[in-house]
Amino acid sequence: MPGAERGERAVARRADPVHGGQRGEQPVAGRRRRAHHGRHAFERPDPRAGSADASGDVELRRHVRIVVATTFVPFRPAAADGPADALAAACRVDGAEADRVRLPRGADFALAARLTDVGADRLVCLDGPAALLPHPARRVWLIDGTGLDATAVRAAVAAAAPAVHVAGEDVRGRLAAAGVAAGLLPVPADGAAWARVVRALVR
Amino acid sequence: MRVAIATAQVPFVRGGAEILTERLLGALREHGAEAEIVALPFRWHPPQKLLDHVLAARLWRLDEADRVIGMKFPAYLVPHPDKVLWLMHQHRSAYDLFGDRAGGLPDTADGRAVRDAVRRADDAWLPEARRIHTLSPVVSERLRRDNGLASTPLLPPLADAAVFRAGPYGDYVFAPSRLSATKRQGLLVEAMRHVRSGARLVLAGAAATPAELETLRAAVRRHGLGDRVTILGHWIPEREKVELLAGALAVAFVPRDEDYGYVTLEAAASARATITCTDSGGPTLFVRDGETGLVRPPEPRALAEAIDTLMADRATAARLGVNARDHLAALDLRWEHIVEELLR
Repeated sequence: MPGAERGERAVARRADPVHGGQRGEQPVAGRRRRAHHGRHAFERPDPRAGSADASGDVELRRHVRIVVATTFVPFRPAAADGPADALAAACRVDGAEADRVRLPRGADFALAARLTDVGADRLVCLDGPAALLPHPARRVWLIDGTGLDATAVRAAVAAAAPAVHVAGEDVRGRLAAAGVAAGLLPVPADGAAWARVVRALVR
Repeated sequence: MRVAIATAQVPFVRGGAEILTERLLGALREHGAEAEIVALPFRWHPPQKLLDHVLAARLWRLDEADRVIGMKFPAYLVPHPDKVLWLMHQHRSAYDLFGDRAGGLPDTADGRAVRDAVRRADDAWLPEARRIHTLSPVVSERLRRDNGLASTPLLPPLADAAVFRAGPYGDYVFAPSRLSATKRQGLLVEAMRHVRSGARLVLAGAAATPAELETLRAAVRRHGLGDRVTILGHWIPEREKVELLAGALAVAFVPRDEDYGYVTLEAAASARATITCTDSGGPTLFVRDGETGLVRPPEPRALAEAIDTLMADRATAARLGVNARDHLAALDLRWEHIVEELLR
């Protein structure tokens, strides 16, 4: 994984120095602002990342970039989607860049997932099949038991240990039977509890 | 009918193609289709990673869909017995942008190998689609030239043309677009060195990289243009863009071989002339020189002359702008038409 695409991405947050008095910083919300600062993959990390430039008019900040991944069968609701969207939102509130990845489960899913690189500093997988995605900083938080019948999925979940959490006792029991220890982390009902989930999964 | 829109997703990157995908989703649902976006992760660096994703594209299965609409590389290569393409663009770094610093694939042994593999993948699997539509004649022409494939363009309309309005023709040329080497805002800054009238230039858009923003700012400082060039180096809210368009003298949009270029449509909806370049691609589909805007070679002095021409003669700026608005209306671009073609 290229360092150039991870972590070091800087985000220019301030407006124009030329007419700075006329047009100050625009609070462009959420994903849009972040998304439009993509740096090309072949460029080197900007050495000024994380500091102000000489004139002090550009503030460059580091963000931890987090992908929250789930799988789904097209045209059917997936249980993990709601918690995944909420987790991504809570990560943004926490100051991270977060994006969602939803992979379609089909015949050759495992191989396709194994070939897929989502980038980012952290990957949080909210169902078993999503845990097949390769990543050096992978966390697993199983919302339900989707996919756990497959040996490859159980192995992928086990490989993320000790960063394995489950939302319910039933799934914890299934993992324990397969020899995988998991922490219990229920799906929160309110905002403050989501901050605790972010800390448990991402920090 | 169950319709899956197959597109590529580069995590954390969101641009025109993503917005277009969502608009297509809305239009399909409005038409009564059960539609869903399937966004398959894609990264192109290092080059070997790119090939992994091409292989993955062939392994994903969308059997639940009655129809697949493929939009972006390599997701459009997903196999399906009833697939129609609405191709945004190919992986241009394997074609016309190969070896280009802004393009992505380097002209090395590895880079050439990946380029050839991408081309072979397109040659082998693009023809699986029942029909190939593209975003614009520019994309269709590349597909014909590079892969020998025929396709029909389907031009997308503005999401909401009614939000744009026409105010008085001001003293600044407005250039809203992501700030990057391929959009060539540097050319406009250079042009401002030669502008003799009091016209100003306002650039607005998020920078592709902090370095590119700094390059533009350094050029403004170096040429002492600080009082005549404004750089809003961030994504501006839609409402602000509408207002800046409404009060501009004209719009300048001078990218290199743009696929389509919504900016030109937004300018027209605001009754503004567009100044563009002979090699800008998409914009030249809409901008007719002396009728709906000014088309000049990609040279600073030529662009400066175009800016001065409109500044000296606001009546012409207004006439070209109104013509552009009428021309856009006459094209009658509608989502309904696009959806009918894609579901046919």
